[in-house]
Amino acid sequence: MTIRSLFILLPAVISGGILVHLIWPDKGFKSILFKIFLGIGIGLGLNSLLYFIYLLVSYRQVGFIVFQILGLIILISILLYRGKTYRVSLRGLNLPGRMQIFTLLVTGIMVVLASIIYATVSVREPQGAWDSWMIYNRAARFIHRGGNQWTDAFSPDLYWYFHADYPPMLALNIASGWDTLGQETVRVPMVVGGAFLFGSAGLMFAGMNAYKTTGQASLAMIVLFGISAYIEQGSKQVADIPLSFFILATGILIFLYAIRSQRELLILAGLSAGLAAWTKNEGIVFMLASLVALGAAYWNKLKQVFPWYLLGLAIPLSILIYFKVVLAPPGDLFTDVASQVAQISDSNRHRELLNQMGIDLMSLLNWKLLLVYALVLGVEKPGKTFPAYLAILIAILLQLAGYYSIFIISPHVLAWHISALYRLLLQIGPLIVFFYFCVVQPPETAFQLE
Amino acid sequence: MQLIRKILPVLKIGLVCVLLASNFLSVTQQIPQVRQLVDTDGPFFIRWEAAFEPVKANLPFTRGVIGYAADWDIPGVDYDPANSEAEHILSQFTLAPIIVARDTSREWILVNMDPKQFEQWFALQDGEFTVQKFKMNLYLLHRIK
Repeated sequence: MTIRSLFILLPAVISGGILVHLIWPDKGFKSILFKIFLGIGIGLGLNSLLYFIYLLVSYRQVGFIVFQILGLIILISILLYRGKTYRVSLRGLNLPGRMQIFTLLVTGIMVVLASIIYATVSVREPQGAWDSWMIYNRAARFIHRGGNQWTDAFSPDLYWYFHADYPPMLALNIASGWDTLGQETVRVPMVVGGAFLFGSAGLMFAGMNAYKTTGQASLAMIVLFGISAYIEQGSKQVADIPLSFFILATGILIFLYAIRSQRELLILAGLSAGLAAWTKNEGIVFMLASLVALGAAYWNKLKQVFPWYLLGLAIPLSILIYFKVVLAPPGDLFTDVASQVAQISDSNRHRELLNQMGIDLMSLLNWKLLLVYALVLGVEKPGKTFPAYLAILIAILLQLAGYYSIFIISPHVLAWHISALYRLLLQIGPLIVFFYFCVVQPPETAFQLE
Repeated sequence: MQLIRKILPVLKIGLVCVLLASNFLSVTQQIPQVRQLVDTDGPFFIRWEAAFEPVKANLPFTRGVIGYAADWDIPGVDYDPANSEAEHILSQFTLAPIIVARDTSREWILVNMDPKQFEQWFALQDGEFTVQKFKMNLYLLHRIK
């Protein structure tokens, strides 16, 4: 069943990769590698959007696979047609040095270890974490079993803790898998969770490899796996890991845009930010944060940047707005705005939250080691990537400010939010790691192999 | 200064190795941790789903809304909110796509209480009901009037 569950995701994942290539037809080897991993998330994200539209139009759960395969055939046809003029180049493909072989070897071992953890957690907790089955797999059950009443998944009659207002990217992917298989199996959410977990790691490696060096890419991926509980949470199918994928992808694409000035990269960055918003409510905060961050970083080039970013954002954002306005019930966070705003003056709430945020941020990464490492290896001058540095930094800070603000004014007890704070930090953890390794010198400089 | 210049290349290589080792250890340490996780799934969910099969079979519809009553509906009773909420969440997960609303004014109500509490709660209800009892202290009420 695991193989079949994996197999049914392939049309979406391959379509995603081809679509990314068609939007950004860079033929360099490093770019192709990056596009393969980017295609996993983009493919699954778009698959959920298409399935959402399919359900809205047809009100039937069967037959979507026909559209998936048809879409894949069309994309392959366009790719083959274009292939007459675009040939894949081996530009950027250099044989690794001894140090790079060593770091690649460690990276490979880390992937094996991560796979062992993923398999162990999946076998022991096939339904995933509490939130995974209560929110996303529960919604997937409503969609899969609901027939023409599938929108009951978002009914206001559902008690608030089911979070029926959450964007349904994961639930739709799971339900579309079940509908294709004709069977409700825990393997589908498991495989979707695994795709985003290992997709994020691959994206980190390929993104850093495209931007810097192979050694730096290996280190970045190893440190990503080293983020405490990242692999475990990804194995438990929580939505924070898919969201971290889209946040990381948006950041990498903004960096690549800063270097290459190709507007197609902005379209993909906008699409990725839109899919982040389609994954989880915190993704909406990130989407808004990314707009502010891009605006601040490219304030003198707004006309060159924003139209393309917004173009990428348009489709997921339009569907998200439709979902939020027409289908989703009111959320649980804004019930009594007046008294919630009054909580801003509660100094105890601020103190407690700041204290926990500090603890959780510090336990996210081995900061002391990273600080010493950066001091000794040195940092790079940003040069023309300065706007990207600024944009990512602002986006990360705004995202943190977003968590903080919501927790301060939330009607729920702070202790309940605090228990989930670390998991939220995992959403931006990979982007922090990417940002860090963009700033510091690559290990090749230590071995004088640059 | 010269000493620093001499040591720096070695220090850099050493730090790259330390960074690799530190993260490698961080991941390897997770393996015994995940092996110690309590198995909350598998048999637990199967048992829960099995208990709800007769409830589903006795409902005249497969989609729609039913009410749900639990400890929190009995005035003055001490209860563990986390446990009661967990049972409501499991009931909803199991009965999907039927909505299990925390609302006792519905025509069909699922009651999750021990027999003593059920009697106490039922005495406070207005209207006429047919009552069916199932395993795991589950009752299905149908409001007739």
